[in-house]
Amino acid sequence: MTALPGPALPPRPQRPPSSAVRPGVRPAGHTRIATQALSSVAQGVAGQVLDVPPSAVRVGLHDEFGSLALVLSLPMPLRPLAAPQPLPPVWKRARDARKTVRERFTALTGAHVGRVDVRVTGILPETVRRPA
Amino acid sequence: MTPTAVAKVAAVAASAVRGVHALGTGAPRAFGALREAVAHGAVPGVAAEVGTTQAAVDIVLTAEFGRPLYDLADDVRAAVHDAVEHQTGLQVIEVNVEVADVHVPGLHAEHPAAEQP
Repeated sequence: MTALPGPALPPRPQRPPSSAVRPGVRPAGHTRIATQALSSVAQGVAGQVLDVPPSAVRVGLHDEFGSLALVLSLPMPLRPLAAPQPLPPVWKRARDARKTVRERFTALTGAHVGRVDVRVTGILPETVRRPA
Repeated sequence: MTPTAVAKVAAVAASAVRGVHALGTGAPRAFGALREAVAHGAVPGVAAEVGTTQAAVDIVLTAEFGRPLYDLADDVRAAVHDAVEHQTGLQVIEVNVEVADVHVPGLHAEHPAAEQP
């Protein structure tokens, strides 16, 4: 469980070489993204998108026919119904977040994400937001 | 030119790249062949093999959350390649980069012992 399964990483687009290198010469060497790094990125992205502390997000990484499947288990913030600006329903927020999480995760890691599951494990009342 | 000297040059160059949180794994909770060999050497997170005219460098790092990891790795590779070639005169044949973990603000707060200074 230290390496991402090979097929989950699409070929990298060629970038122009950095100015630090002689023009036309790309330094050799491979790049590896550890599973732990993917997991932390998923926590960070889910925390941003769903407005929860990253530490409250549990991440599962699985193979989905060669793509990456993310399973996010997290509590969702909840605002009192009497609040001036109530949040959209939990179900809608969780569903809408999947696409954004997928796009941001792929932008950061280069990994092709085939599936994002969101499992709501609880509620974070806004007045007593759990410390990060 | 000793491997430690080359590794130190590489460590300084890699640490200066935007988006590098720390060299090394940050937390000793996962295992990997490259990481084990690299993480506990004379220069944390960096291992160098040095011949008479050539050198190869392996880097293990913890990234800062927010930058695309492959861009970061490419920049680290370019910076290390350039620094080692210019400061040691050795030809750098490869720079391998492993992103072992990503530092997310607020994520590791409950484990302060695992934090890198």
